[in-house]
Amino acid sequence: MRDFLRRIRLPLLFAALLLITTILMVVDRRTMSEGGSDHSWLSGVLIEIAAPIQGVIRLPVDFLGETWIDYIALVDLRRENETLRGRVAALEEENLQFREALVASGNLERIVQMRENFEVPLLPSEVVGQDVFPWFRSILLDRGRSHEVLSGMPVVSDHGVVGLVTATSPHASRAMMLLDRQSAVDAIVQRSRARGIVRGRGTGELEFVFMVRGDDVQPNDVVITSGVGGVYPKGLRIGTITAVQTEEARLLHTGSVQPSVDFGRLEQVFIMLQRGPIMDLLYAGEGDGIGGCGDPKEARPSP
Amino acid sequence: MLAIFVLGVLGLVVQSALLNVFPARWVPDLGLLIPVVAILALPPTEGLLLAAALGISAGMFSNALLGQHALIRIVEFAVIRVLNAQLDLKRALPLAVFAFAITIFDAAGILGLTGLFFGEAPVSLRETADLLVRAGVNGAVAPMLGVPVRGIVERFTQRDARRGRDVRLDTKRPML
Repeated sequence: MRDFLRRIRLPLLFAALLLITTILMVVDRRTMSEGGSDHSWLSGVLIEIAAPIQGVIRLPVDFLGETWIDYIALVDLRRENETLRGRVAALEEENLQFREALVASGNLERIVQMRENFEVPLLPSEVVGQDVFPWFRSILLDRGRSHEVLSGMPVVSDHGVVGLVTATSPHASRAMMLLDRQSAVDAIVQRSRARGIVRGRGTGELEFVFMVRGDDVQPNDVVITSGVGGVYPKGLRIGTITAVQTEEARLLHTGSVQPSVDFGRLEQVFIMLQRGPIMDLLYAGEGDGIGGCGDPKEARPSP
Repeated sequence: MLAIFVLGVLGLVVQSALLNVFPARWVPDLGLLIPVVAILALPPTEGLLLAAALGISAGMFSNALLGQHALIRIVEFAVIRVLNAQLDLKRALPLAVFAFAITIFDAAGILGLTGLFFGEAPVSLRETADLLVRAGVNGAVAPMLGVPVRGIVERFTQRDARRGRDVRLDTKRPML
């Protein structure tokens, strides 16, 4: 009997591991679609260890890049400086005129108040690592819970929406990019206000799915976040429509969107230190982050 | 086995950092190659456990479903054991060819499972070309990884064996 058990130990272990991993996948998928949390403290420990090592690996490349910018690219700097000075002067003049007009109409104080209400603090963060599999799109950031970063917070760059924080540890966090096929954002076309959903395809392009037939969506239209869904604030730039596929018989029409952010060259991003009401609801009652009672990787809005 | 596991996780960390600097197609898939080479050097049970553990770790460094990479690694373990019995994959050339093939197998598995859970997403021609380049890079790197990984496995296996022998010598139980 013992010999028999020894003989079938490997096949048994093989079958058990297959079963366990399959169950893990199904549970993870279900958790995701129910908007719950997942992943254990283990993920946090790995991220926490990985972030500083990845930062060190990046150092020589950053050093070379900075040397290039500091010394060799100085040639263009003087010319650019002169151009910028001219622009600053023009903008200052324009700004002065606007302020005069606003003061004259008595609106300045109200606008200052509104700005305070709408301003969201932005935390700069370095991208220290990428997803190890090209079929998934996530990045590792060097800011974590100790910098008040929570899962569900939007990540943006100076060009537009980057994605969403999905896992945090004390000093690092992971963000799912818009390109990931698990990503979906409620969006509108800036020109025509046509509404739809921008989804990741797992490739370099996004997909804009809009429902109402006859909606005015055309190539070169700019797509921005609609604010609906409570994940991203309204008005953040997502990308530009490059092509529209409309078939008369279909209810849903799709368009291809070229993201405004160059995801291949992301170095610095900004984490918006305020998450939407839906995200607050999703993470309510859960110790946000990995080092605690669980990491809510599921900031992914369900497709 | 712990040493190989740490090496595998370190491989994932380094790969993730390199992807930040170089295009994905030129970065060797250390998260795949280290388990492949280690499975060839380790006894079957330990190799299987290592494949599963490194698969779970790979899932932590990725936005994939938890267990997705582990499932693929376990299937790859079976493929490696079967093919190694036929082709002796420890030699450089067969290992290089196998690394090329397993990269494509791995991608197909990941895409298949992702399609199953999230709906199919077509793979563009450019992505296919990138995958072939990456498979070529993996094929070139795999034989270079084989020597150090096997060295670590042998060193730790011998140390464990020696430790076992010492324990037996130290115990003064009467032999039956």
